[in-house]
This record gives sequence, C-alpha cells and structure tokens, in this order.
Amino acid sequence: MIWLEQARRGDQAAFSRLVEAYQGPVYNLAYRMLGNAAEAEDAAQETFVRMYTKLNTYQPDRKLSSWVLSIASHYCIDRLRRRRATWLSLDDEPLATALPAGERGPEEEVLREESRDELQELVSQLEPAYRVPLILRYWHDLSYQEIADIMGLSVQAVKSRLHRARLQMAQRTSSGSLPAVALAPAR
Amino acid sequence: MHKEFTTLMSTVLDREATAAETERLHEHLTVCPVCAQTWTHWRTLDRYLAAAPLLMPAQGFVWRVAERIERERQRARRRRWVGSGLLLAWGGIMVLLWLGLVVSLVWAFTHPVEVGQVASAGAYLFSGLAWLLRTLQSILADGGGLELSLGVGFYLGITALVLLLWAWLLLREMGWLRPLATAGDSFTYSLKGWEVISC
Repeated sequence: MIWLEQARRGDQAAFSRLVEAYQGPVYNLAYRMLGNAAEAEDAAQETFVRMYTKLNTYQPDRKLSSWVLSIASHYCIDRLRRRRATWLSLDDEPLATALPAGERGPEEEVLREESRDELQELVSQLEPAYRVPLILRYWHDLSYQEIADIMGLSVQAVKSRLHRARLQMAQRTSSGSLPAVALAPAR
Repeated sequence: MHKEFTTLMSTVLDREATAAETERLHEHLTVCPVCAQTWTHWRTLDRYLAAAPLLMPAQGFVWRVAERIERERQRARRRRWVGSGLLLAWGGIMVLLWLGLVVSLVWAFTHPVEVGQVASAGAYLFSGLAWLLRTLQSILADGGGLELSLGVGFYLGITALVLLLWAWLLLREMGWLRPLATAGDSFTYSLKGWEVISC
C-alpha cells in the first residue's frame, strides 16, 4: 500500500515495484485467456498502463490484487470479443517460461511442454465467461467471493460458471487421455 | 448422472462445500457408479489443472511497461498539442474570414464603382465556367465520355490513395494506430480497439 500511495504521487519507481509484484498473476491470466504469448505480453502491458492511468480511481476498501486482475480480465474478454481472423500467423514461440521447478531430464521437459500445450488448448476452447473464473480459481487460488468481486458477478453466478467450465472440459476429455502430470499432487 | 450431485462435486472441488455436503456427496458416490465415474474424471481434471505452472513474462517486463507508459504520456502530450493547434488554427481562420468580410463590406460601401467592376469580372468568370460545362457536355455527347470517365476515375483513385496514406500517417502520429508488442519479426497494429495484423 505504501508503494501504491507513492505511485499515486507520481513515483515511477514505486509503480515499477507494483508491476514487479503483479506481473506474474496478470501475465498468467492474460496468457491463459488469449492463448498467445505476444498477445498476452501486450494485454499484460496494457493492464498496467490502465492501472497507472486509473490509480486515482482505486478504492482502498478493495484488494489491490482483485482490482488489477479485474482490469486484466475485462481487457482480455474485450480483446477476445474484438478478435478478428489473423491474416498472417504470428510467431507463437512462447516468451513465457514456467516457474523453475528444479532439474528435469529432456524427455520429461518435452512431456511437460506437450502437456502445457494440451492444457492451454483445453482452456482456450472454453467460452471467455467460463475461462476467467476457471483461471482465477486454479492459478490464483481465489475464493468464490474474490472471483465474484473481480468479475462483478454474484457468488452463485461464479459457482455456476465454474461448474459449466468443468462440464465442458470433462466432455472434451476422457480420464485416460489426460497426461501423467495429472497424477502429481494438487497445489 | 445426477445434476444436483455434479453441482455438489464442483463445490467440493472448489473447497467451498460444508462438511455435511461433502459427506452427502461421498455417500451418494458409494451407491451411484455413474456419478462415481464422473467424480473420478473430475478429480483427475482438477489435479491436472492444479499441477499447471503459473507462467511468467519474459525478462525485462517491468522495463517494457515503464517504456510503454512513457510512450502513452508522450502521445497524450502530442494529442493535446495537435488539438490545441487545430483549435487555434480554426479560430484564426474564422477571425480572418470575418475580418475579410468586414473589410470587404467597408470597402464596398466606400468604392461603389469598383464593386461594379468586380461584379462584372465575376460575371465574366461565371460565363467562362458555363462555357467549360458546355464543352464537357459536347465531349460526352460525341462519345468521348468513356475516356473522360476513365480519366476522372484514375485521378480520383490517385487522390483517394493519397488521402488514405495521409490518414494513416496522421493516425500513427496521433497514436490512434499503434504497434503492439512484437514477437520475433512480426508486427501487430491496433486501431482504436480494432486489430489489424500485419507482418
């Protein structure tokens, strides 16, 4: 909050610290929503630019993380709506890297890459309205209430969307088709 | 598959169910093989999602955001200057026009003879224009309309292209058309919320 107050007074360094603190969650949400590293980078940057220009509108009674993720999710949803057919494919080699997870052999690395692509494909097939609560639930470990605050919905609506997201994902997969990584213990 | 229990499965997986609800679900799963299979599948999916890593942006993200904010501020400053300049220019033109009108009226009242001369010169010019229109009409009537149309179309097309190029340069300058983040050798542009992808 100190950084926030300093940033509001025009302290660029303080704002940079806020960016550093929230870059992971914002980028992750953008990537999972848009499925493309270049767009995710742009969406994440735009989120922080909007955050910067709207600093004075932030209400302290709301969690800062909820506010930032709210900006990011709304921007990503708008972007998905406006998305037109691409004429030329962009280089989709991800700029993102997963958090370091210790030493891994090359075979395991390949399996993880494939698993990540399959997972992203599965998530990308969901409607944007179902995708957001799923991402916030699994990657940000937020409660129904927190997700509701971010999306501007009721708790019941969030519960319903998560349920539908699971139904859709279950319909597109079968137990046996999920990669071995699924046997790893849950976070 | 019982809809009520799949909803309960979702709540249990989200760790938002009460102890009683969780117990109720597990009791049902012991007697319903279909729901039990669904539960196994959903749990596998849940663990699959939970095991996925949190992605981070490429190195230097904070610096890139700072640069972008600076660019937006400069763009906003330029827009303010352009806006002020346009307003000033428009105001200046209006003042000049009104001044010109006032001066003309004053001059006309004080120089009636000269006004008559100007009026007759204007009438002469008008008759010249009328002659031009009659000439064009005779060309069209003589079957040269196709060449004329092609010629006019060609010049109009060139003018339209020049105007589009000018508009593109102006929009870029004003920041309404801006490049998005680059990836490799590709460039992406956005126009005020629309995306035009190019390479």
